[in-house]
Amino acid sequence: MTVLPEWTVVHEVGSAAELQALAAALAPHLRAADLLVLSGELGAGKTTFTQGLGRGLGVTDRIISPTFVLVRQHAAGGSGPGLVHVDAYRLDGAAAVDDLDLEAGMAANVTVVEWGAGRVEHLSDSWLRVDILRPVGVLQTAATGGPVTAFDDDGEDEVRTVTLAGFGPRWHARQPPLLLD
Amino acid sequence: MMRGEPLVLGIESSCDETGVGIVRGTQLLTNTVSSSMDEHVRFGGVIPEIASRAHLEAFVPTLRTALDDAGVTLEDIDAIAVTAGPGLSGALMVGVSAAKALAVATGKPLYAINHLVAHVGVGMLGGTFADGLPANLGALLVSGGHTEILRIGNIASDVELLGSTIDDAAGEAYDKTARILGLGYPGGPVIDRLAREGNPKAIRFPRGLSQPKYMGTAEEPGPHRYDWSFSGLKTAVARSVEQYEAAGMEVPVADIAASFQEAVVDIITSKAVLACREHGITELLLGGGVAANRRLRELTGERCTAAGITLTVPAPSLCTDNGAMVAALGAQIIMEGRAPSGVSFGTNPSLPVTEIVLASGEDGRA
Amino acid sequence: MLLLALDTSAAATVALLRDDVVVGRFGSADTRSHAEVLAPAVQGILADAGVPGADLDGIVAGVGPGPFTGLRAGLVTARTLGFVWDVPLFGVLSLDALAFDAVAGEAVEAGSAFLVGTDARRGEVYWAAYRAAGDALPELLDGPHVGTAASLPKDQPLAGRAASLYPDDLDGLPAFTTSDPDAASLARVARLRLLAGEPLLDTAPLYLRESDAKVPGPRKRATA
Repeated sequence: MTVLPEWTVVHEVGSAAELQALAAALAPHLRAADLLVLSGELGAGKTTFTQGLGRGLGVTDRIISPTFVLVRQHAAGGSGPGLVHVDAYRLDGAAAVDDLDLEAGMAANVTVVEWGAGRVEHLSDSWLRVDILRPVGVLQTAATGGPVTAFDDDGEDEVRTVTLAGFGPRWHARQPPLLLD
Repeated sequence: MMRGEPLVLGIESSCDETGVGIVRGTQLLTNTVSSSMDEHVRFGGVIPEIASRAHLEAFVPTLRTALDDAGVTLEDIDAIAVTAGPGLSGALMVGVSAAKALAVATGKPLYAINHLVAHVGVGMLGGTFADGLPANLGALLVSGGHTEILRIGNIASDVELLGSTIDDAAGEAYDKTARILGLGYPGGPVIDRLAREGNPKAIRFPRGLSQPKYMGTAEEPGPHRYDWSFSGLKTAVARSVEQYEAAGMEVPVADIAASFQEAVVDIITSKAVLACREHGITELLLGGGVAANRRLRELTGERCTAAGITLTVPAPSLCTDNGAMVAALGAQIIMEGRAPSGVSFGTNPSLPVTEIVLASGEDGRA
Repeated sequence: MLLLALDTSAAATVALLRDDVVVGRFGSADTRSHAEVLAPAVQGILADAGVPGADLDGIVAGVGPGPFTGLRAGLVTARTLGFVWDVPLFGVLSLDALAFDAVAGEAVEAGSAFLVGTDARRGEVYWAAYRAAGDALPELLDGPHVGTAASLPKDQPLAGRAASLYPDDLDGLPAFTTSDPDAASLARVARLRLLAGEPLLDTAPLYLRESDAKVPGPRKRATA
């Protein structure tokens, strides 16, 4: 079954900080029970994105990688929804995802699932897909002409393309106006 | 009536090791561990459901072996301690349910304790700190799930978090880097081994949160003076590998492994030693599974010596997850006179390090 | 005969049975707090009855099927209690308790076939088919299985919570549409089997589903 998005929008960001700013700008447009499905290779910035989202939602705890414990719950900063942050990489198959009992917390939270594509869409009739893409395979050349061997400490050179796509009735005519570009 | 040195049985099930340890005060009687690690290797990480199933099957046999090995009976035991968090929810649930059943069946008091603080408590065993924990003690915990620097005022009642990772744990960075390099799971040992063949200076990988805006000064600390970040490092490793692949060149795996390891170990040790110096810490305990890493032990040792800090690293079998550390912390908590946790507390997968022992009926959640 | 029974395949339930009399019982409607409530329940029931654990003739555990985490809390509790008290362990299919209740409540006539179904979450039910057998224990005809409510045999009434979850697909037995396996009934099933000299199960959990983990594929190579 192929499901087509209600809408798709593409943003370019030039650094890890800009990626977080984009996510923070998205946060006010999110509601409790929204499901975000994050995709991107290792190091694409899925947790970085979620940190920005948490900041935008007013979450005060530190948002760290959920990889070890699989699910981290963060209380809302104010009256808005809290954040449930999931790493589904080791949960291949929808059934294993269901053992996490995410449904129990979905109603009151924004649920963000890293490596969620193809694993968690069954949890809701609607979801926001976020694909984070680094330019892969582009040969960057150092001053010496060879491969780059010195990497920036600040992530300022981490260019990414972020594609947001709303699926299902919740996202019908609900494209967040992100004024970043 | 309890004697001076309590005989404590500790139960650990927060991840993939089912551990039962027994200590008498600071004396280790047994450290029995059953691991489901082999079942997780092909999946590239611990699979919670597989770990939980293994805990159920392993618990009673591990308990029986531990009692036999220590040469004690359940009647002899003064108290039971169990990991209540942090860790995998379903895995914690098995150990906690078992510990409660043990407490109900024996009538012994039960203490629900913090897994991370237990990694420090293990330093009490084997005579390292036979006369008690030193006054100016810090702990650097580095594992698959954790990267933390702690100040230990009192192991039973006063633990302060000085710094921690803001994204991936160090062990997780090893696992993910190994995945990028196609080296399999777990990443720590294989990268450590490959790193010996590579040049750690071949590539300059980022040292996360090392810039002045994050560090500040001792007088005016920045927002992440003692914190770590490994996500940018992971991205840089991926970019580095892709460059060689895209150019059709052979990926210098050993050099990348060595340079990656150097970046991790450099930033962990430099920030940990900085935190020690600025908090009057003169004794540092290195714990957690990554404490087995050759380069981490080496560089931590060098930098501690240079800073006048005494470094203690427990035996590898006590650094990885085990029940003896839970028992060791339990014994300290009992000797400190803290109340047991009862049998109605809940598990807490995100238990903060400042919650050392749960009070009756609590789960440590805010 | 003195039996302590635990079932955590749905709700957390505990019962103490002396011969055919329930002398203590506990039930919690919450299906997600087994690890919290189970041990206090066992402690309270035995204390109230003045029964030392070592006096038990057996510990009966519902082996599922049921949601895994709760099921394991019950099984590890039963196994640990049995180890410490040196009391024999007996496993009983949790659905047997519901089948027993439906027949004891005269909801099904002797000789007729019926279904038992519980919530398996994810839009599925755990189920089995039985035949009521007069004074004897219901006879298990088929199962246990896990599947969608629509996939169950048609034209047979069903006892258990599955009936209220999927009323369009299932024909619920009135008075049993929200029932969960109960430890007291589980104990009665075990007692009747023991008295009849029939074999019981061990305490291996009936997961019915694999752990679902798959080996991940290799990382995609970057190509120019």
